[in-house]
Amino acid sequence: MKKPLSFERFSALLEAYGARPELWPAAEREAALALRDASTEARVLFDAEATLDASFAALPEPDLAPDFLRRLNEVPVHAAQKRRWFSLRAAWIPAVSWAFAAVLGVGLGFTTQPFDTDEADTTTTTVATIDSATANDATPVADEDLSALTLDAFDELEE
Amino acid sequence: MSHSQHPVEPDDDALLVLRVGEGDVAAYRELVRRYAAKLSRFAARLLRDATEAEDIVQETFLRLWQRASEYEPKARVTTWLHRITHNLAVDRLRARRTQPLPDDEEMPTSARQATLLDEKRRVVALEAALSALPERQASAIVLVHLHGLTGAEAAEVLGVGVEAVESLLSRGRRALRSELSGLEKAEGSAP
Repeated sequence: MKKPLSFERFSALLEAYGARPELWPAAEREAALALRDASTEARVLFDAEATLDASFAALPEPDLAPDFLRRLNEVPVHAAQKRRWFSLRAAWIPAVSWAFAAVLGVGLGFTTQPFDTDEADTTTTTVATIDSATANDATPVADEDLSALTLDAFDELEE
Repeated sequence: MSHSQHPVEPDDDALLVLRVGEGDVAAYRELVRRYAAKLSRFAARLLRDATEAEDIVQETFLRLWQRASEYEPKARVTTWLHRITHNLAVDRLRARRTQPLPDDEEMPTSARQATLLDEKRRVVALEAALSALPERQASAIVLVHLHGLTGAEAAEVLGVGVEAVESLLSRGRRALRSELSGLEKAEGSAP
């Protein structure tokens, strides 16, 4: 059920759009017609506005000179069309995509850099610890073993 | 520039404009057939000068031909064309502002109204009263009451809100009613 229209709004509709329901805003048309049919006062107002609408309908249509229509039809013969080589509408989607990718890249760069540094420090520490342990134990460690340990540390870093 | 000549079926206006954007002369001419008279009436009522109105409408269709590829089907074609015509007409009116209005003396005065006895003269009086309205009121009246645009479409053409259009329409109709009721009183008191 549509909300009933106030008489004031009905009057305002008539003042603006006249007694032609097809011109009334679609959202209010049904309620306005219901009010017109239910209220004598509204009907009187409607009929009064109809007089001006009848006068509009009686206004003559200005004649168009045949030469004028010919000139209009010949516009394409004399004028080249403008082509749009660059469209802002078409360009904004890839532009935003690239910008988003760039921001994402920079953001990831910032968030992963401290992680990399920590890992590098850990590796250094690990190697240093191994070196230190090796020195303390005074146990000779083969160069190959040391290299293997270092490589293991890098593998961890990569993982 | 390709001047393809596809046969024009009764078609949606927007599709015709898209075809015009591809250089389709037949589609362009179909739009001329549909809108030239309407836009000419609109321009003539705003400018009160048939020659200037023709210039404006020709410029409107030139823009349609040249810029159809820029048309975005957000607005109806009739709204788009009326807006172009309205803007061009307003530019002309602004350029004219330094010149005196030519037809002030043609406003129906009470003395002249007394001689307007029949419906034809009533129409003449309405034409004169419509011409005497401020530009925006006249535009709103012509767009809605003569061309059948909705309030929302007229608002888009005029670049204002719907409430402002309703206000323009109300004031315009009130002024016209006042002119016509003056005429009726004069007719009633005529010997």
